Amino acid sequence: MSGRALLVMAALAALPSLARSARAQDARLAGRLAPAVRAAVDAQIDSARADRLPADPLVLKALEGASKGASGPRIVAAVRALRHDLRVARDALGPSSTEAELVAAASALRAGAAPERIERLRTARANTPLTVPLAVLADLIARGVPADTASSIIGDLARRGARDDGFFALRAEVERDIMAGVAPLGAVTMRAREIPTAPAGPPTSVPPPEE
Amino acid sequence: MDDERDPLIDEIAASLKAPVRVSPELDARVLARIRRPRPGPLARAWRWLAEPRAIAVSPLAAGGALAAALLLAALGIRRERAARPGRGAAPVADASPTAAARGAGDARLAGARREMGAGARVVHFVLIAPGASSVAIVGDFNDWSTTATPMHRASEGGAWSVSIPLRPGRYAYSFIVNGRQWMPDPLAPPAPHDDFGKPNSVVTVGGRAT
Repeated sequence: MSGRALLVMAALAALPSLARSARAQDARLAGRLAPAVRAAVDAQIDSARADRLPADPLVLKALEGASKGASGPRIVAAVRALRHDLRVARDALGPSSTEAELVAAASALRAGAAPERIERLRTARANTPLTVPLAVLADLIARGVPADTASSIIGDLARRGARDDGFFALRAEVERDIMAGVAPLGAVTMRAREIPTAPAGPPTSVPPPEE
Repeated sequence: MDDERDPLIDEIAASLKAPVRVSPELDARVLARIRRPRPGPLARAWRWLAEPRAIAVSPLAAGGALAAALLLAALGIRRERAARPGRGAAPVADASPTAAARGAGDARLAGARREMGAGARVVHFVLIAPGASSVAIVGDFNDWSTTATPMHRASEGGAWSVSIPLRPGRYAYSFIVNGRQWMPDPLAPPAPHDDFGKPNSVVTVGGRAT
């Protein structure tokens, strides 16, 4: 085999890794991160892509840290933590989940929701986007509603066919109550009863009600 | 019976029956008061408006008027809520179709929204910062660029606003006041985690991504 042929073969063998590196080189990161930080973030993005996780949320997390003047290690740690949350979210929601759903689920996880609760939410609302229920779940927990209670209420509403508007209304009313001095737990318990849900359909195979 | 009558009573009765002597000037004074000048047209109109009178209204007309009044009141409340954000206003995109319609009049926004797909909605962000010389919004929707999305002074009352078309999803964001002060949206949900010591708010756009 000639030297030239060997060179071509080596180049072909290196193509996949070159392509991976090129994909990780998100143009938005150029000039926003120090070279060492960028290399570490690129490695996280590569790992996410290998796991079939969306890379965009990781890029945005790094850009957020850069804009806020965070240190390199802090940026890398935040990106790594988000990648972890996205993976747990994907495991809970399934491989067909959208990027928006994964971002919302990662936020709910970070707020304190349990992965099992998120998995049950997917079962309860299999063919409808879960972005809004997950986002409202995260928001309620962030407002001080205990994670278990918030998960139960959101799961119950999803199972009973509540629409996105209903979830938004729940969040808005709870926020209003909390600002008026009502305890978060009392507010969400009271307001959840007011959210319209779809009329009961024919019996289907559903998991037992959450506590 | 007559013998028992008290002479004092007779005296009082006689006094009451006596004709009253009225001063001759009294008639003149009374007539002067009665002959007031005729009021002008404005005064007559005001008297016509202010004078109570019975008005007959059919139940149908009364119901229609009540419904119109309620509708106007509801519209007024919505406008007032949108315009009175306190120090900030929760972004309205997640409120569903009404929110999207608020920006529909802006051709530029409508075009951007079309480019983003049918699921995109225009989100209206408002911050009340009376003393600010500049306000920008930064977030997941503009790659956290501190200069890409300046907000515009919407009124003399210190309201700054900007409308941004967003696809369905959840976005973290923050305001930057005077080019250096990071500030979450006071009335929007806070992001549940703060990775960099400067807390964010979140906005969620519902619907199915296209």
